[in-house]
Amino acid sequence: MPKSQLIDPKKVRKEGLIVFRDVPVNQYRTPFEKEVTNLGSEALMRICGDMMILREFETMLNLVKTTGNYEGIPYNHPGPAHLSMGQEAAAVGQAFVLDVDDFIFGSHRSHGEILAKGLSAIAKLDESRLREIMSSYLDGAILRAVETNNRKPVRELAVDFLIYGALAEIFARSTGFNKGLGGSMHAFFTPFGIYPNNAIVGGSADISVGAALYKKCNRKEGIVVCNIGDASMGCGPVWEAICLATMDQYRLLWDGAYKGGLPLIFNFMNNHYGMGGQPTGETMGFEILARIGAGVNPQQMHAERVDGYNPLAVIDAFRRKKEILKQKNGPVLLDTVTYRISGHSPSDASSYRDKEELELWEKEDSIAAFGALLTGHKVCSGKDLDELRSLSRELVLGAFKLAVDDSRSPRMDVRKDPDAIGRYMFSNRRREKMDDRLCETLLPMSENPRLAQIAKRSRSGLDAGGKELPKGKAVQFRDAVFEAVLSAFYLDPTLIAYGEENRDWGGAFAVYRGLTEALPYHRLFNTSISEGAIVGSAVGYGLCGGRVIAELMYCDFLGRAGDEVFNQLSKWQGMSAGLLEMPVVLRVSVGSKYGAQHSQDWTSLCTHIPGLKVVFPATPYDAKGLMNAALRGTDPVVFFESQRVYDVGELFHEGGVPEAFYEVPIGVPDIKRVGKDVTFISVGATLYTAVKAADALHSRYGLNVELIDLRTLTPLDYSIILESIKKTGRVLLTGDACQRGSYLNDVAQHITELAFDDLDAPPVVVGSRNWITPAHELEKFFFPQPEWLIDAVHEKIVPLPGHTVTTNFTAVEGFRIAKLGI
Amino acid sequence: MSIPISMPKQGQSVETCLLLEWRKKKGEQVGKGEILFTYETDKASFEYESPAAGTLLETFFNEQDDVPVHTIVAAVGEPGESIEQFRPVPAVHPEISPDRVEQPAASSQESTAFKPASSEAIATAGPAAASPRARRKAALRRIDLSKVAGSGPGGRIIERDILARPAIDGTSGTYPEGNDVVPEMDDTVSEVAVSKMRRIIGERMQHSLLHSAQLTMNAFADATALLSCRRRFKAENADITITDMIAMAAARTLLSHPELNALYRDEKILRYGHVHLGIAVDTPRGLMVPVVRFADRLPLERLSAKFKELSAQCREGSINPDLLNGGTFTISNLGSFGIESFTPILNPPQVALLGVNAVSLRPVGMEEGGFALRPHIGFSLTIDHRVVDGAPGARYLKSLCDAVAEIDANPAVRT
Repeated sequence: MPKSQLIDPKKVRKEGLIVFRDVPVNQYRTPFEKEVTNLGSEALMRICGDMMILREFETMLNLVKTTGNYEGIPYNHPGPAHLSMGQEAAAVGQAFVLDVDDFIFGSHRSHGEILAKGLSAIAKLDESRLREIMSSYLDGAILRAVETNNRKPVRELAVDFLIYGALAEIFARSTGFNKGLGGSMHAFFTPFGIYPNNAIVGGSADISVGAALYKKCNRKEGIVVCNIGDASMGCGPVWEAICLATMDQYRLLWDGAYKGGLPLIFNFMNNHYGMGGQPTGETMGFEILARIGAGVNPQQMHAERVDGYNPLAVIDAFRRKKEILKQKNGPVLLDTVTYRISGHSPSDASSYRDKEELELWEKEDSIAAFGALLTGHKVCSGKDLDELRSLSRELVLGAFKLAVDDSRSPRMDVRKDPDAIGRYMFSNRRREKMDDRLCETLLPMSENPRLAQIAKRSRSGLDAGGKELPKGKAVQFRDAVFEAVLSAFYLDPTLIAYGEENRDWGGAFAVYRGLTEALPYHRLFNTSISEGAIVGSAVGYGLCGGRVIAELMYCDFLGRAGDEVFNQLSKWQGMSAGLLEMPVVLRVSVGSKYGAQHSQDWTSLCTHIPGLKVVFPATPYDAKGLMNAALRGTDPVVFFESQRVYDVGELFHEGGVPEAFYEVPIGVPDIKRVGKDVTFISVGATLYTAVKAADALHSRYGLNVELIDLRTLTPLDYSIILESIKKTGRVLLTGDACQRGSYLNDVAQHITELAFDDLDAPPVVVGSRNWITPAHELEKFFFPQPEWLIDAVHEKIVPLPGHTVTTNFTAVEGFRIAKLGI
Repeated sequence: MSIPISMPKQGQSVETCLLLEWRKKKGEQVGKGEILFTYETDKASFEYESPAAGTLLETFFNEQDDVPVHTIVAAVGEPGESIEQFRPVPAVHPEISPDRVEQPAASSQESTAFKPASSEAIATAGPAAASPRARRKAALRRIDLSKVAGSGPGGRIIERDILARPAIDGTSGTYPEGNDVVPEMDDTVSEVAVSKMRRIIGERMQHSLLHSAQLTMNAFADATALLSCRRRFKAENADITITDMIAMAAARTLLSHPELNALYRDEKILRYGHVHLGIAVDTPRGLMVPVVRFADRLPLERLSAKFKELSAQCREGSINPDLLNGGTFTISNLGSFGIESFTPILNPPQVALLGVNAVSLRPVGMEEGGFALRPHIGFSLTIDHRVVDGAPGARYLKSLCDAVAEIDANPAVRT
C-alpha cells in the first residue's frame, strides 16, 4: 500500500491483451565438440565419474533395502531411502555450475543432489580450507572415522568424507553429517553449501525463499537453488513461496543495492511422478511444468524446460540462469526433465507404470549415453570409463563398510546419555547480533516519532495513588513490544521483519507504527497473503544465520502455516543435531470479537510440538522483557499477543515498563498478586479475568487468591507454581484456549504429580467452551468469565458459604459434555 | 402410643456404637429413667435410660451388634401397640447410592439435560474421602480421618477440616491468623547426610539379611577360668582382653569345625585350612571389621597385639582397605555394654559369626547338691542355614564353650 504507487482507474480499466513470450522447451543445441573445448576433457570425465558415484551409492541403498546385502555384506536399514537413480545428470549438471557459497535445498529424494554438490565443492575448495572444514566439523568426528593410516591426498579424503558422512547419516550413525538425527530425507552439510533436504513435499520451497532473502538482505555472495519435485507444484506452500519470491516490491520499491529480484532458482526435478500419480496427464493441468512460470510475473520467471538427462544441457541452463540472478532479475523457474528408474521407495511395485516405459528410459540412460559421447568423441577410452566405474564402486563400498561398522560408526547412546537428543531441541544461546556490521536504518533511534509519542506517556498504568490511568496516558502493551523490536533493529544488522500489513500500516494492531520511518524496505516489508511462506521463509532466513520476526496477523491463520510451524520451524535445530540455530520470532496475534475464525487461542497446538518456545505475555512489562529475551536468543519463539490487551498499561510491575533494556527470562512464571488461600494460574489475557475473579472472591468470601501469570508455556519452570501450591493447596488454571486439549491440562497434570500431597483439591482447569467462538455479543458464554472461576472454586475446590452458582461446573456436567464431545 | 428408642450419638465423630447388653428383656416392664441397655463407643461405655415408662415391646438389635447412631434399636409402649413403623430398614451403603451423584455439592442450579444414570462412573467424595493435603496434615497431627466430617465438595475432608480439630497429642488445632504456612509437626533436630560408609554398611547388612538364611543360637560358657586369666594378665600388666582370649579360642576351635570356617560364594562352599578372623570394631564412622590373618596360628600375645594395631587404625581411619577383606569368620563383642544376647548379622560370604556377650552369674548345680553362682560368658552364634545346619553349629558352640571353660589349660594362655 505504498503511497508512491498510484492505482489509476484509467490505467487499470484500459483494454488490452497480455502477451506471453515463448517458453523455451529443451532448446539446448550446443554441439558436443564445442563443449569439449568449453569445459575440457578432464571436467567432462569428472561429470561422468560423479554421475557414476551417485548411481553406485543409490544402487547400494537399493540392494540394502531390497536384498539386505551389498557386496556380500549383510545390513538391515529399516529407515527410508527414496532413490533418484536416473536423475544423476540433473544433479551433477547443476552442481557443476554451482559454487561453494551457492546453497541448495532439497526434497526427500536428494541423495544425488547432496553428493553432486559435495563433489563439486570438493573440486572447487582449496585444500587447506577443505582440511579445515573436515577437521572442525563435529570436532573432527567424521574425519576420524574415515581417516585411515593410509593417508590420502586431501581431495580424495574429502570424497571419502562426503560419501561416508552422507551414508552414516542415512544409517542414523552418530558420525553422520547430522549425528544421525536428520536421516535420509533431511541430510545436509552446510560447509559445502548443502542445505537441508525436506521430507515434506515442497517443504524446501518457502525455506529457499528465506535463504534467498538472507543472501539478498545481508548482501551475501551466491545464489539459492530449491530442488523440489514436479508433483510439489500442487502444494499450496510452493505456490506461496513462488508468490513471496516474485513480489514486485523487490524491483520497484526496495532501495539501492537491495533493488532487484531474489537470487533464487526454483528447480523442479521433473521425474514425471509424485509417488504414483502423474502430474502431467493425471494430477495436474500444466502439461509442461515450465508453463506455470510464464503466468507468475512479467519476467515469466525466465522459465524453461531443460533436458535433465543431458548434464551438458543442465550446465548450460544453470550458467545462463545464474547470470540472470547476478543481474538481479531473479527468481527463475526451471523444469528439469528427468526420470527415476528406481521406485518411489523400495515398497514401490511400479503398479502405475509399464515395464516398456522403464525400458525406454533405461535405453536413454544418462550415464551410458554420456559415456558413449565421451568415448565416441575420443575424450576417453572405454577402459577409462571402466576405471571410473570401479572407482565409484570402491568408494561406495569403502564408505559402506565403515558406515555399517558399529565400532567405527556408533549410534547415539541415549541410554548412557539420556539427553543426547533432547539437548538439541533448543540451542539456548544468547547472541546480541547474528552478524557484526552497521545496522541500516533511516534515522537515529532517538528521532523515532513513535518514541516521541510514547515519551509523553506514563511508564506505569497506575497513577501515584495506585489508580488505573486512562489508556491513552500510559505506555501500552503495543508500545512495549515496539520498544523491544525497535531497539533490536539498531543492534542486530541481520534483523528483518515482515508479514501482512507490516509496513506503512504499521501492523494490523499498530505495534509497528513508527518502524516504517526507521527502516529501509529490505528490513521491514509487506508480504503476499502467504502465511505458510511467511513462516517458511523465516525458517530459511533463520537457519542461514539471520534473525527475523515474522508475523501472523491472527492466531487463526496458524493453520495456514501448519507445516512451517510444526515441521520446519520447530524441527531443524533438532534434526541438525544442534548445527543450525533458529533465531526466529513468530509473532502471533490472538483475536476476539471477530467470531469463530478470528478469535482462537491456539497456544496449545504450539506447546504440543517439540522444539518451539512458546510465550504469551499479558502485561506490557512482560511483553517487552520477553521480546527482548526472544530477540537475543537463538531459538524459535512463538510470541503470542492478545488483541484484548494491546492497549493496557502496566498494572502489576512496580514502576511500570522500564525505558531501558531488560529481559524477562523465557520459562519463568510470575506472581502477579500474593495470596494464601487459593492459587490462580492464568495464561495470556485471561490474567485480567482472573484478577476480577480474585477481587470478587476476596470481597465476597474473604479468600486471598495468589495470582500467577504463566507468561511462558514452553519451557516452564514449575518452582514458583509448586511453592505457591505448597502454601495454598488449591489451584485453578485458566486461559482462553478451548478446554479440551488445553495446555493447562498438561500443567494441571504436572502439578498433580509434583505436588499431590500438597493438594487440598484436584487442580481445576477452566478454559473456553469446546465450541466455535460465537459473535462478540455471545462471547461471555464462551470465554472464561470471572463468575465461572468462582463457580469452579465453589464446586470443585472449596464450597463457598452462601454462594449461588450461575454456571454448571459440577463433575456430572463435565462428564456429560465430554460424552457429547462439546 | 409407643415410642422409638434410638442409639444416641455420643460425640460429633461417632458413627456407630456397640450394643453391649440389654438390661431389660422384650416384654419386660421398664420405668422412666431405668437402664434399658448399655453401649459403648471406642472411648467409653454408657448406659441408656428409658425416656418413658412402659413395656419393652421390641428390640431390633442383638447384643454385640454395631449399631449406626440415630438408628432405632427398640420400642417402648403399651402391649398391643404397633411397632412396625419403627423397624429399621436395611441400611443402604451411602457410597454406592446412585442418588448421591445426582446432587451436585452445593449447586443451586440444576442442569436440565444431564442423565444421572450415566454418571455412576464419576468418583464422588464419600464419607471417607479426603484430599491428599488433608490426609498428610491428619497424619502429622495424629487425627483419625474417620472421625472428621468433611466440608469440601461432596463432603470431602479438606485441610480446613483437619485444622479445625485439636490434635490428639494436645496441640491446638487453631492457627494464628495471618500465618499462611502451617508449621509441620516435625521433631527433627538435625539432618545428617548419609556417609558413603554408612550407605555401604547399610547395603551390606540389608543384602546379608535378604540373601541368606540366618539362624542364631545362644549358649553360655563358664567364665571362671577366663576371668582368672584376665586377672593374672592384669597383674602382669599384660594388656590382653577377654575379647583377645575369646578370639584365640574361637579361632582354634574352628580348626576342628571346618564347615563354619568357610565362605559361600557362587553356589560353592569354600573351606579354609586356617582362620582369618574378622573382629568387629566400633569406629566414629561406623562398624569396621579388620581381619587378623592366620589367627589360629598366632600366639595370644601376637593375636592381641595385631588386633589392637588394626582396631586403632580403623578408629583413625588409616587402615589399609585390603586388611578389611579376606576374613573367613568374624566375632563381634557387645558384652562390654552388658548385652546378654543378640542376633548378629552375617558378614557374607562368611557363613558364621560369633557374637560375644556379657559375663553374668549363673547358678550351677554342685555335685554335693545345691548350686553355686558361677560367672558365665554368653555367646550368640549366627550361621547361614543354607550352608551349615543347626547341629554342626551347635557342636561348634559346645566345643567353644568347653574350650573357654578350660582356657587356662591352653598353652598359649599359660605362656
